[in-house]
Amino acid sequence: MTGPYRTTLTGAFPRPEALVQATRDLDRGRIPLEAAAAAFREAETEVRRVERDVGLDSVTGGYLRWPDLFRPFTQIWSGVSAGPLTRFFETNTFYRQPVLERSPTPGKGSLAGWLPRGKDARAVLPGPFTFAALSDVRYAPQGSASAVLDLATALAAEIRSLGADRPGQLQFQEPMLAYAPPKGDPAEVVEAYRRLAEASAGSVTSVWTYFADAGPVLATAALLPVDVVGFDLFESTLPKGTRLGAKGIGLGCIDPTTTIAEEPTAVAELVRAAEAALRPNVVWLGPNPPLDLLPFESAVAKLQLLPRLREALER
Amino acid sequence: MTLFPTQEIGSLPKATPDEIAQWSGRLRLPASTPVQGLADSRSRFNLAFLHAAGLDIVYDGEAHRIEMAEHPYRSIGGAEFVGHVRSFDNKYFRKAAIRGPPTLKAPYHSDEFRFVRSVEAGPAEALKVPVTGPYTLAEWAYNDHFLSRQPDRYRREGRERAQRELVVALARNVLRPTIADLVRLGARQIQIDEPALGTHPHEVGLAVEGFEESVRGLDAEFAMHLCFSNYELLLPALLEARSCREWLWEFANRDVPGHDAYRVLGELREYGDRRRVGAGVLDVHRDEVETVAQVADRIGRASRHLGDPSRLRVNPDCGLRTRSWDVIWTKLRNMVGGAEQARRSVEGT
Repeated sequence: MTGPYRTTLTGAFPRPEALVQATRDLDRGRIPLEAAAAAFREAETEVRRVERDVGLDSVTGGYLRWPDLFRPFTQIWSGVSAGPLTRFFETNTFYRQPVLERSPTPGKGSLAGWLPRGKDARAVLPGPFTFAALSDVRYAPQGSASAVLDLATALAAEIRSLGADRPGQLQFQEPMLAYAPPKGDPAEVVEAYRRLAEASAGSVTSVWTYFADAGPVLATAALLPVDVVGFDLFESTLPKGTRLGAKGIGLGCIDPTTTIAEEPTAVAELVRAAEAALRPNVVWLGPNPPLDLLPFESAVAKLQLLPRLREALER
Repeated sequence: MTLFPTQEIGSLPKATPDEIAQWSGRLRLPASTPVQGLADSRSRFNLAFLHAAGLDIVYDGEAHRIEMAEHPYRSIGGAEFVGHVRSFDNKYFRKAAIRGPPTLKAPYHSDEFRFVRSVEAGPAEALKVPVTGPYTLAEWAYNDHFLSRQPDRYRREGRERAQRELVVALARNVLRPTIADLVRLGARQIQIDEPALGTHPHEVGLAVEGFEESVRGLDAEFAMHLCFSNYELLLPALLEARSCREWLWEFANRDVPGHDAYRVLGELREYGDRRRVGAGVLDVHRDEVETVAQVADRIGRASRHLGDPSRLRVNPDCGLRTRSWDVIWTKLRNMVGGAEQARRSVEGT
């Protein structure tokens, strides 16, 4: 046994069926806003109960209110608006593409209301590299370093503004890191994460990439000043000799594209292989985001893998 | 047929009896004999509504269908519904898991088509039947049956092999007999909807295989509808769908100042593809109504990039079911008006 092992959700959880119905009813004018708000509160309580029952080492509440990974920021920042409906990577889910008319400026609203709070809370935020890559950047050349750095600066300001109530865990979603890695010198991504790290002192920080083989990008991830590098265990091939330094790893080990439960023993073998290859100081086990590709009940059922997997690994 | 014929492309909202009565009065739709159920009533209303808006090629707004994946899966053996999945915002679909070999319980569009033919006096060529394609059906379900049979299910190779087995099984065992029955009943234009095709661009070959397998040996005119995809990533492999006679693609959603969404049609010309194109000129996800001039401008650009106005048809990006009837009416009227304006512009030169 190595480890230690921690378990967590790594992004949005599916909405419970009651909330599905409530939001549909709201859109069709069948219930008032207050009733929908109550349905959201009940659903978040339900997800927190699931997190507690499964024994996770973090609390997220499931991010049920987030329309997509970027929408809160199009609402609370100036210079950014919600653009056309756009496919989110190779999924059948869609997001409103952020349109950056100028460098984003916080101040129109607060991020606090969108996040869980407290030491055990896990904030799941868009990483600046992915944010820039999936946006329509109009004030700078698409793919230029400036948008990545500007977004990192704005995200860092939001994190600072959370003050003492800041979540103890900060996870930055960077699917683009593995899907379309930075070309050439990744200096701007490293600098972006240096700005985030400065703002995040005292919290456990992680970068989580998925939707593609993370093997080729692990050397870049090793340069980022974060505590944990998370990736898709099933998609990734880990080159021999890759070292992440004094970092933990996060392993996405629940496949949201099937309702078949993962087999703990088989997954434990893959986890051990990853540990042997990367020698992390901690292993975070979680679903491959976005788990909300599953319906609520299927997600809850598949989440049972995590305590069983931890048990198999610690045996 | 006239230059820039206009056509509907997918589903309309499920009108309430009050809405049907209100709009029938407002548009002075012709009175007809009562029909049995609400679905039939909606179907007849939708056809009349689309004709009143001035569209040339219509169907019934999928009035008899729950949703484009759920409706077929209700007739597919081996499938089991497991819950709702969010597509975006507060929009969801009920997703099935494939728990056994997919089989067809009964052709699931035949009754609907019989009804449409019974109330639609026009030629069969002016009806275009939308049918969800095998790739999308596979992509929008959990492929548990075929995946569980793969020895390497935790690896990409195993997942991709399972996906191909499902697409081919759906095409052969479900889609082809369903489409064959439509053809037997007189359907001449059939639109295979593959909105999921852009999900995994590297699987375009599999989607083409599914399309061809679905229509193999059948005598009708087949079209393929895609939306919210990066078409450039699908070309030229998509063009291998030899049985397809028309591409119906969404554009308006992404046609914003500074970005000419129709430019990609130039690639069809470069590849020497001479098939018809149904270009989306209405954004179906926003209430802002396109003006007649805006539609005409979009048609003009699409036509120029395609290089041949005679091969261009005009339609909304996708189904308009998420919009209100007021918005739908105005959008469709402006689409028809925009097509007229574009026609005059071309014929005047």
